[in-house]
Amino acid sequence: MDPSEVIIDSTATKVEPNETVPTEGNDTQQAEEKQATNTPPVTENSNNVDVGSTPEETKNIPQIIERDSRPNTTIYNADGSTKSFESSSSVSGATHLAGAEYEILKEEDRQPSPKPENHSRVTEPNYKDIVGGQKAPKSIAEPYLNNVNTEERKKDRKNLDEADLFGIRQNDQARSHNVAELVNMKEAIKEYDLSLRQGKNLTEEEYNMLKNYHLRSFRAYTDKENYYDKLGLSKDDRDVLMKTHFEKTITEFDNSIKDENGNYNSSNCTIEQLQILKDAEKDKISSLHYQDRSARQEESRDRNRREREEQYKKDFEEEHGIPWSVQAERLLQDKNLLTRERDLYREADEKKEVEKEDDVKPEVNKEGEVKPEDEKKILTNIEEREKVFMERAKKRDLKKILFWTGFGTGVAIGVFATGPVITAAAGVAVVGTLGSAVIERISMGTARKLATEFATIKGKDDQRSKARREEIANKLQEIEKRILKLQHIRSFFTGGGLGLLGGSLINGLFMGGRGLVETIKAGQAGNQMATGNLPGGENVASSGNEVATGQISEPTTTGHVIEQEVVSGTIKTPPTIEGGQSIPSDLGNTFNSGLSYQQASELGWRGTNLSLTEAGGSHGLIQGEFFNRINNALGNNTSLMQGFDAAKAYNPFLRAAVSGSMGVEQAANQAIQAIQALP
Amino acid sequence: MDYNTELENAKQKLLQLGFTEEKYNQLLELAAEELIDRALIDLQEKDLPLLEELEKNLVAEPTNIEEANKNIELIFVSAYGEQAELKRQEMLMEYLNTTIQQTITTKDLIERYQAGDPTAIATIESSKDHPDVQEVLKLVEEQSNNNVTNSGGETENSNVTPEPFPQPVPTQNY
Repeated sequence: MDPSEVIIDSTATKVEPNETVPTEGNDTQQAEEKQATNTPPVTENSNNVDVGSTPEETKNIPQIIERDSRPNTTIYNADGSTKSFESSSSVSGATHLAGAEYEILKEEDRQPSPKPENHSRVTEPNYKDIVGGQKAPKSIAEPYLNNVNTEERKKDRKNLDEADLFGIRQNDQARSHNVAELVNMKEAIKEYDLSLRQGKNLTEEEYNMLKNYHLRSFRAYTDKENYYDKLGLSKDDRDVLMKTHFEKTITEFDNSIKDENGNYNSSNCTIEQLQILKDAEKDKISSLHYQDRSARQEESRDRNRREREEQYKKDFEEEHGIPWSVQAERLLQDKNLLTRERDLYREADEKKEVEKEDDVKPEVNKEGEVKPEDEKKILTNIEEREKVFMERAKKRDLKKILFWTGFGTGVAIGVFATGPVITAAAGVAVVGTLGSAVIERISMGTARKLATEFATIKGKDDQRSKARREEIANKLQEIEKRILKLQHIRSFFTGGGLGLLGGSLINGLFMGGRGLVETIKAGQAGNQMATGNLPGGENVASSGNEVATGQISEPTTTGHVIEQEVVSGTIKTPPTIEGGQSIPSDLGNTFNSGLSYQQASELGWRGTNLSLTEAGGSHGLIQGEFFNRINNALGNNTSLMQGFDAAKAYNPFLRAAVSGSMGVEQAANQAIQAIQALP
Repeated sequence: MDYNTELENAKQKLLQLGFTEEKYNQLLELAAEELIDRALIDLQEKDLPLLEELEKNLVAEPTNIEEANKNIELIFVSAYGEQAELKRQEMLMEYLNTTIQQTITTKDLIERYQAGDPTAIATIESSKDHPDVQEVLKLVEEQSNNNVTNSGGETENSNVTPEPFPQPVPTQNY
């Protein structure tokens, strides 16, 4: 049997023996795949052994296993529907996500977790010091802890990381506390035992305990007690009857433990009675210790939780620029869920596109010629892709016509009455030319030129035409990929339904009549003018802080020049540069951070060289000002700004400047201090 | 004439021709989309690695103007390099000037049609059956249905006097 027949669907992956399956970062999948490579592959033969084939023949048959593409991520929507995805970005083999609108537990159903009973600190004066924990447990516990020699312990822990060491320290502290408390309790019990032996007036509780113990040793007493219980008498009535009935016995017991002053005293107790009292005290201390300890842990947990909450709220505000609130938190969670959902859909879409791309891969026959049906498919695909742009352009022109007809403003008027108006508008302006500007652009593009050329040589059988057709097919395929990429790029302007496209485009494109680049260029031109005011053509950027003689003109944002005296030909302070306008740009177009790619990646950067000009967009310009300011302040000693330590020091301020949460000048000044503080 | 003055003049011209401030802003939105699409079409001529690099640098989900601006910058700079800003200005002015020209022609034709000018009537009558015009009429009809429907969902025959061409608003200094 042909082994390929065992592949049951087109998405199954063929795995040849001993071949490693490409992984996609999915742990479960990797584990499965590892298993697949280690266990004998499932083949037609392994399930249904052909008795006619020899072991050698069986060995020679290519072994194939199938791995179904199965969804590993499911989104549960609020309306009860679910959507499954096969996502390589899901870290678990089976990821279940609630949709952004899905409310797992409704607010009204939320119940605060009940507080455990008896979790309150012990306040009884005689016991609170015994069970209430120790402030300096180490000194009490030390003699009882059989620790390894300190030197030995240090040696053992030398190779551990900070987190492990922290864990060990916490364990040590907890152990010290435990032992110290036990020691304290043990001492208290010992002391109690001693006081009993030395003669201690019994409390009412102790007396009652001994009396009950004594009376219950008589069978007649317990029988009577049970009898009264069965009669359903109340406790008070029963006690009166019992007391009357066993008065003699009770009097005898009382006399046995009374001292010469008539007090109930432990000095007259038997050994057995002393033991009863001691055990009872031991149980009581133990029970109170448990209660107090639980309450302390609860308090500690509450305190830690409150601290964590405070810290979280603080971090939240720093990160998002708004105070923490339940609503803000929910919005953020919703946003994250929506982002995740969007990524899943996008991933699925991209996968489909790749599959489509695979579909149109031209098949080349033996003569190296692209099959006619594939050629046709490629041309059709290009047209389809370009059609998206044309349709959009057409819709835009249609909208424009509506401006002229008074429609699109919510004014309801009869169609027939306005017919001529519309006809006039459409007829004059756009008949046959809807979306023409875009269509014209497309028609002038390489794709159309190639398609036209392709049509002219379509029927020709000579080798040259065939070769050219193949060449064009490949080029068109390349163009199709580019169009797909551009369609994806355009999706970046939709802003996830935030309505950013229109408003932001206008802002970004027109900016009140002056575009961003122009604005920036104008700013730079202003700078050059300002620095050009230096006497004798001297430039701050090139001359640094030293000027041989005379005065230096300090550039300002307004372009005015302030005269400043220079003492002994040396400027004592670097020229003050305001508003990010006149920064000496000694660093050039890029700044080499001196980091490895891994280090840059750790800092969340995309590369190791940072753009310092408009080539890097608005961020590039901010970076330019930021680094040039630092470089200037460090006396052009660029090496001080390079390397991982320096990068770690200035990175938060660079990010603050780029994100706009801090002015560039302020950020640079902070960064300078951070760099200067480095060892 | 500098770009700012040119842009302001175009705006004033459109306002004089009957555009309201709101419609002018809507027109700018259309222009913006058109410019982006044109830049993307021009980017088709660039190599795939450049587009991949561009894609990598774009902010995938712009949440503020800064990020959206960055995306626009990147696209125009990738498409036109140093000429990005110039190209952008040219494209916008071309779009606005074409619109002004089309508006003037349309307005003139409608006015002549309403005055009973035979040439204008002939021009309009001859264009009536053109597929593009039919498409526009269909779209308008759909919008009209959306705007004027009774509870039964049937289209009402409105006898409201048709709105003339948007009336020019007095020139204002914005």
